[in-house]
Parts: sequence; C-alpha cells; structure tokens
Amino acid sequence: MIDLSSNESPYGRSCEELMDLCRGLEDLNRYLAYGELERLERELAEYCGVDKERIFVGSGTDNLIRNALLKFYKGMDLIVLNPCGNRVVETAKDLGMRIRRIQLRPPEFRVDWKSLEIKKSIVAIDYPNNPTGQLLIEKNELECLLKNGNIVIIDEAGYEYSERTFAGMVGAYEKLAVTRTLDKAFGLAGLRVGYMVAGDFFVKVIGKTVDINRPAFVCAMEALRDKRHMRESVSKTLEEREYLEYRLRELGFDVYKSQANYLCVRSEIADLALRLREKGILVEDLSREWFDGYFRISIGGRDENSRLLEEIELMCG
Amino acid sequence: MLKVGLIVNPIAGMGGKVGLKGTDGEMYEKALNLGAKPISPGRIEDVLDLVKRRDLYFFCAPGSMGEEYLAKREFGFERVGKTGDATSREDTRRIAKSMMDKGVDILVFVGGDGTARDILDAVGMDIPVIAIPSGVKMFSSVFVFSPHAAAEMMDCCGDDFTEKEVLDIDEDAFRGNRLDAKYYGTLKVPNIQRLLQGKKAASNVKHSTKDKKKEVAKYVVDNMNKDCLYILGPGTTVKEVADALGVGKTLLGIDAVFNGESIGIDIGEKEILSLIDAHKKAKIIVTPIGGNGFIFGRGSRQISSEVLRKVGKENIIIISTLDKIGGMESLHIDSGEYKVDREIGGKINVLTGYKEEIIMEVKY
Repeated sequence: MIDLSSNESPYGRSCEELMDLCRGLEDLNRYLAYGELERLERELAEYCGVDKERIFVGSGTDNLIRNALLKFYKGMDLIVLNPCGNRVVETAKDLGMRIRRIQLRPPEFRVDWKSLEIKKSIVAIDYPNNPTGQLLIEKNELECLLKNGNIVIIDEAGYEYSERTFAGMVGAYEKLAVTRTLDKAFGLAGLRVGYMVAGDFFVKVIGKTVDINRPAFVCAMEALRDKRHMRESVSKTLEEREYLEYRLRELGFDVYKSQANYLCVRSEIADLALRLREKGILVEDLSREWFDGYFRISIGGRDENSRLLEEIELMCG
Repeated sequence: MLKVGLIVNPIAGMGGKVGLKGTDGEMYEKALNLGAKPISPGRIEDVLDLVKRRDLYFFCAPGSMGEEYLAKREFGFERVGKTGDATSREDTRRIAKSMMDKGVDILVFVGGDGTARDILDAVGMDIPVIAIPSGVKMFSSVFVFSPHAAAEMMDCCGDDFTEKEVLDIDEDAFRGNRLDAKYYGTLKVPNIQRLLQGKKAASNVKHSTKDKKKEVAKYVVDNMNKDCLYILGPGTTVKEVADALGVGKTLLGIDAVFNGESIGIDIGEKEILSLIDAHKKAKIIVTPIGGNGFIFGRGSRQISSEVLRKVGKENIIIISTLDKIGGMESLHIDSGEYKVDREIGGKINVLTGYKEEIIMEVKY
C-alpha cells in the first residue's frame, strides 16, 4: 500500500543511523528524567529562538493542545476552521464547550477574521491549514484576536515546509502558543514528538511533565543535533510538490498552491479515492465533512508519486 | 448583437405562497382561488433592469410570456408566435422551437422545474439557456440562483458552456410529503459556476446522520423560549425538532408551534403573517436545501420576504448536520426582495450539533 493520506515524510532513516540511535538506548530500563528532558527543551528553544521556559514537550501536538484546553476551557468557546487537521474538537466536545467552525471556501479559502468579532474563545488554527495547505491568518489579524482577549493556539506542524511562523510573537503576547512537531519534516511520525512554544499565560498554568519516552527522546535529540536529514527531506519534498502539482494540472486537476507537504486538489474523476485504493494507493477524500470532489494528497517520494500519476493517467484514458 | 430568446411562464411559482407546492395541472386554478399572485413578471422585470449590456436583440413570446416586459424598455425586439388567453406548456414548447429556427444565440426563460422540462423538450442541447427561477421547487441545477445572477450571466456570457441537469419532481408526491426526483435531461448553460445553483441532493439517511439531527433538535428544544412563536420550515432536520417536542409536522410544508403545542399545520404566507402579528416574539427554524444551500426562496415560498422582514435575521435559526452543510460553499437566499436578502446575507451561524455551529456565508 502506498500511503499518501497521512502527511508523513516518505524519507526514513538508514539502518546505520538507526543503529547509532540504538546505542543511546542502554538506559531503557530507566524512566526518562526531567533533567534529561531539559536538554531537549534547550535544543528546541535554540531551534525556535525562544527561552527554554517557553518550551513544552509532549507526545504529539494533539496532546499538548488537549492539555491547554483542559486548563482554559471554562467559559470559552472553541473556534476552528472547517476543515482543519487537529483533533481538538473531540476534546472540546467532551468538555461541553461551544464549538464554532468557520467554513473555508475555494478558491482562496480566505477567512475574514476581523468581521467575525471573536471574543471569549480559544482559537485553534493550523498554519498552514490542513488540508488546504494555505496560510489563513495574517500577523495583524492574529494580533487583533489576541488583543480581544482570546487564547490562540497556532499549529505549525508544517513549519519546516512553509518556513512561516508566529513563534517569535509569544514573548509579546501571553495568550499565544505555537505547536510544532518532529513527526513530519524530521521524519519521526512513529515516535510522535510534539512541542509547544508558549506565551506567559500558558507558562504560568501548565506544568512541565515528562510525557515522552526514552526512544523518542534519544531520536529527537539526534534529529535536532544533525538537521541534514530534515533539510534534505524538506528540499526533496518541495521539489516533488512542484512536480506533482504540475503533472496533476496537466491531468485536468484543480491544484491549490500549497505551503505544506500535501496538496489540496479537486478532480472530476468519480470515486477517485476509492479507485486509487483498489490500486493500492491511499489519498484523503475530503467529501465527508467538506466538498465533493476534493482530495488531499500527501507528497510522497518520486516512486510513489509516479505510481499515483500512472494510475490517474489510466483513469483519464 | 447577441440574439436572445425570452420566454416567461407567467404562472410559475404561484402555488408557493399559498402552500400548494406547484402549479402543474389543476393546481393553477386552485392557486388563483386562494388569491395567489404572479411571481414571474417581477422576476424578469428585475433581470431586465439589472442587465448592463445593450447589444442585445430579443426574440420574445407574446404578451405576458415576454413581450409586455420588453415593450416598456429600450431593447430592440420582435415577437415570435401566438398564444391564446390562457398560456400553456404547449405554447412554451412551440415558441421555443420557433426561436431556435430564428437563430437565437441564447434562450432566457423564467419558470420552475416544469418550464425547464418544456424548454428541454423543445430545444434540447442545440442552444444554450439561462434559467431564471420562479417556480416553487426548482430542484434542477440548471437554474441561476437569483435574478441578479441571471443579469450577471447575460452580461458576461461568452462561448464557454456547461451541461446542467433538469429534474422531474412528482408534484402529487411532493404534496403528499414525499420527494420523488427523477433525472429528466440536460440543458446547456453558460459555464459560470458561481452563478448556478447546485442540485438538491436527497438528504443523507445514514444512522449517524439521524443521531446528529436528533442532537441538533435537542439543542434547539432545550433552548426554546417561552411565549415565543416558532415557525418550522420543511425538511427532515426540522422535523426532528417537532419530533423532539412531540408535535406533528408536515415534511415539506410550514408549521407553527407555541409553548410546545402545534398551532398551525401546512400553513400559507397569510396565516404565517397573522400568527406573527398575534404573538410578541417569533422565530423561524429552517434547514438549508441539500446541494444548493437555499435557506429561503426555494421550496418554502410561504416564508416570504414580508415574513422575513417581520421576524428579522436575529430570530432565524438555521440547523443542519455537519456532513450536509460542510459540503456547501455558501448558503443562498432569494426571498424575492433584494433589501431583505441583503439584510439576511453575509455571515450567519448554523447549528450542527449540541453547542456546535459553523459560520457560513449567505449569498444573495
């Protein structure tokens, strides 16, 4: 099965690299201590250009966002985009929060934040938005949301591909937090290492805990120490994104410009996802909670992308 | 010069406000007896007032089927064919054929699903059409979504065309609370998707959807105000609200409840207006039509622009399941009164679950 539905990096690590990592695992019989985790926080703080105190490491960004929600949900609404990638809605529902979705519309998917008059809300925005790949909030719009007293959590899972971030603003805005991950560009989806870069409001309330395990810690440290693998895989992914975008357009797809490691496309081919699945290729069908004919295709390696294009070409006759 | 054929079905849509759901067959007489007034003339007058381009030459049907609206304006035109005192579907078919023989570039018609079928019978895919909605149901995707959209389409139509469906709705079944829609054929229309309405999809009946409808209904009922009149629009989602209250409701008509009791079943515009006058506060609960996203102006003309003006945007509750509404780019309104459409237009909240909503754009 070729999985182009989960936005993972197609570029794994070599056996040699993995053997090196295993050598750091002699202490697997020991819990990971906070003192050790601090080393990871320091690496991440340096990578993000913020103080170590602002870094919270967790097992996946969904968990970090869930923890924040648990602390701050009382009397607050949750605002999310529809569609959006994070799973915060389920937590909000369990907590009895009022959930407000903002419908995204092609072709520009723009959100008129200022006209929405959002107050007393936790606003969770994925940036770039998953699945559209668009950057859907500007700095001045974000400032406006924060100045109105809202809590804003920006999920920058695709940061390494977009190179656009609001992490630099957390010092000035206490109710802003940015979440990122080593799952995607760093190629560690199997270990789920996420982190949050938090404003003072979060720092004061959320306590630091050791939420990741030792293998995740060892691999995260190594991935951050030597960023060549990340940089190479991002650069290959951006190249492949351009190639896939061009070829899909040739095949009659509407392809939206993406800032992430996936493409949002529209196709007239009936039952596209189902037919690709029968050929052993998974892509995400967005019609369940969004529009018919829209799909999200993760950028695979060249072989995977070529297989996908071959199958689509056959369908186009 | 663009040669434009114009055919107006002067009686289309008359059954709507009096709650008859169509004017096929003998229903037209019934609608007249109930005091129904023509809708199509206002529609075509709006379009002709809004069209900006002047290089149009019309070939029009006689009298109330076209000629009388052009006679008041500066467009060049000539009459095609003859009709008796009462117009019929045979007139539509015959005149549309003659227009094709005259070499019109595009045929503009005003009517409902029935009129679209007659036009299709006459011209098929040979010439493109602009379909202006004025019927009661208009489930076919061939229609533009308002007179404004029709005028814009006339202004900017070029030589890029697409195919849109014409559906056949069984009016007797529709009156009997059943939606029986069959594919009838395809017409050629200018390819400007944003101006066309989508096809009404039969509402999803998956188990989870049913549960989600119940959840929305529970939220609505839990938050109902005492001493407030609730006007319930058509559709299975709104019917869940009535079911949650334990009162009867027609699936396709308009009904009213007050303090948990049914006080009106399948009511027309007049009854709605007098109920609103008799109560201090009134709210309307509606669900968008699947596929095309209309909240007012299709399927429920009893909730007229006057009703909407009296109730106000803040008292309109829109409910839907997320899988239905999430598939819609925007909602639409075409109440027949531009000012009302403009007031209700813009951002609106749609309830999609218990304390769950989605912010949508209402286009007009």
